[in-house]
Amino acid sequence: MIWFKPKYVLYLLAIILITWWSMNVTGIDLRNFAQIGNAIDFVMNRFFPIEWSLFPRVLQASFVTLAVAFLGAFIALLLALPLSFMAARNTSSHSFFYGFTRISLSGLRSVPEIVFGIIFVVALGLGPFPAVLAIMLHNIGVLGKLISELIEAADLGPQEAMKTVGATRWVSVLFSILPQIWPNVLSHYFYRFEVAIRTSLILGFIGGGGIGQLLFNHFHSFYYTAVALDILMIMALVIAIDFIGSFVRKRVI
Amino acid sequence: MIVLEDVSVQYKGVDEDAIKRVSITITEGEFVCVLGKSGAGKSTFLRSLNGLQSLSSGEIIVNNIALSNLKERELRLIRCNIGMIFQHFHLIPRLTVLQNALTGTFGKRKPWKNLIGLFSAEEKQVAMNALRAVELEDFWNRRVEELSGGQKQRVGIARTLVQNPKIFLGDEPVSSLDPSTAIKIFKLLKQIHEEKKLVTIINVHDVQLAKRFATRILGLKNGELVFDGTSDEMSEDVMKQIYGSEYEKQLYY
Repeated sequence: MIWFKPKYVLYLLAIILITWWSMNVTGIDLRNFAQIGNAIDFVMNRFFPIEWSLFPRVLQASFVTLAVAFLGAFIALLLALPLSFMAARNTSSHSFFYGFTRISLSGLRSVPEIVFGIIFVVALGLGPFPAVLAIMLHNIGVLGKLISELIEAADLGPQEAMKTVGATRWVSVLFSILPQIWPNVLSHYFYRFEVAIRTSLILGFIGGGGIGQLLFNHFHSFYYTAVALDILMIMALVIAIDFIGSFVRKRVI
Repeated sequence: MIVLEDVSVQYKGVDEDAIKRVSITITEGEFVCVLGKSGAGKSTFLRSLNGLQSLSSGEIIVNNIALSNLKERELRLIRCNIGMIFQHFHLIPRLTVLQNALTGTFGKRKPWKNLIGLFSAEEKQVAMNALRAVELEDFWNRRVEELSGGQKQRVGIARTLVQNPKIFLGDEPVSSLDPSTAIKIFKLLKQIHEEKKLVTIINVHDVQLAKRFATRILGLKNGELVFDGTSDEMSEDVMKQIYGSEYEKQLYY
């Protein structure tokens, strides 16, 4: 055993201890797994036959969810792009702007969408609009940070070349950096779009509309055959977005 | 014409000057090669000639204009007429060969026109002529990532040709190319130098290339100009002066 070191035994013990403690705190009892059959029974007995008659309604609601996620993430991308150039050390025009944008983005990121959602539902009323705002604000923080890190990791060479041909600062920055980071920007966007779909489901629970709200209502009225249809639709939606995202990214690269 | 008067460059946080009190005059028609070990100050020397590197003391006068105290806008105008190529080419990734050549016009156009990438038929013609000069006209629509090292450097040269410069700088342009491609690139540079009657200044590691092509050779050691003469004057003593006691290694090159 060339790789083995005696201190690894200590590490292993520590990991076991932390796992055991976490299980205690969260009340995980392995004996409960014996009752997993109940969950399977519940799904098998109550979810079928799937309520296909609701299909048009669920489809319409899923389009709302799609629109909420798309708009929220897309507007976030549009706003995050310029902000991320200000939040990147190598392109920010002044260390004050750099620090300020960086902190602001962290602030936006640290507030979960559900918190924004609850505030906006109270302020603006029920429906998809508060959900769009909530997703947008959180994602400005997320995309701004991710893109600014791409900018900081970009090769400086082309920027220097643009300087030597006499281009202005912003033309140098945009032309040398954007083409380098564009495929990764898109892949971050599509990932956030996919996350936004799941988020908009949760926002539906607090009145943000779309398929999430439908799922919530069906669950609360014990209408499990409809819940089954909702879940199927959600799965189809996420898989479709993943497929489209990888297709677009392949075309761009 | 380029005049250096007592030029010194010091980097922040470094005690020793990167360039120490260099005074020379380089006139039209000269093909200058700069020799020196890595870290001798060759790149710093070259980058100070187009104002990419600011001086700690002394003055550089390019075509009767003193570079120090120039505003960024005025410096850009100077840089428009100074072409520069690099060891790692510094092309804009994901753009085509023609688009990369067209970036040579950036210093002379309105910034917003550069951003949206609108080029006149005349500008495209100039870029195509430059690609013809470097024998890449058939590759105009290829993405630059698809090219070989030698071809990439020729795109870099085409970009400078589009600038229509009076002065041509090369920062170790053949250091990452194989010997036969390196000779081809130097032949091309010499041909352009003679056709356009340029001032050409190139950093190079290969002493034989410098001896074969240069009309004048500068030797830098620890930022000091230790040699200034023709290739015939490059004696063993001079080699020792530039490269120290390790100069024998150069003979095997």
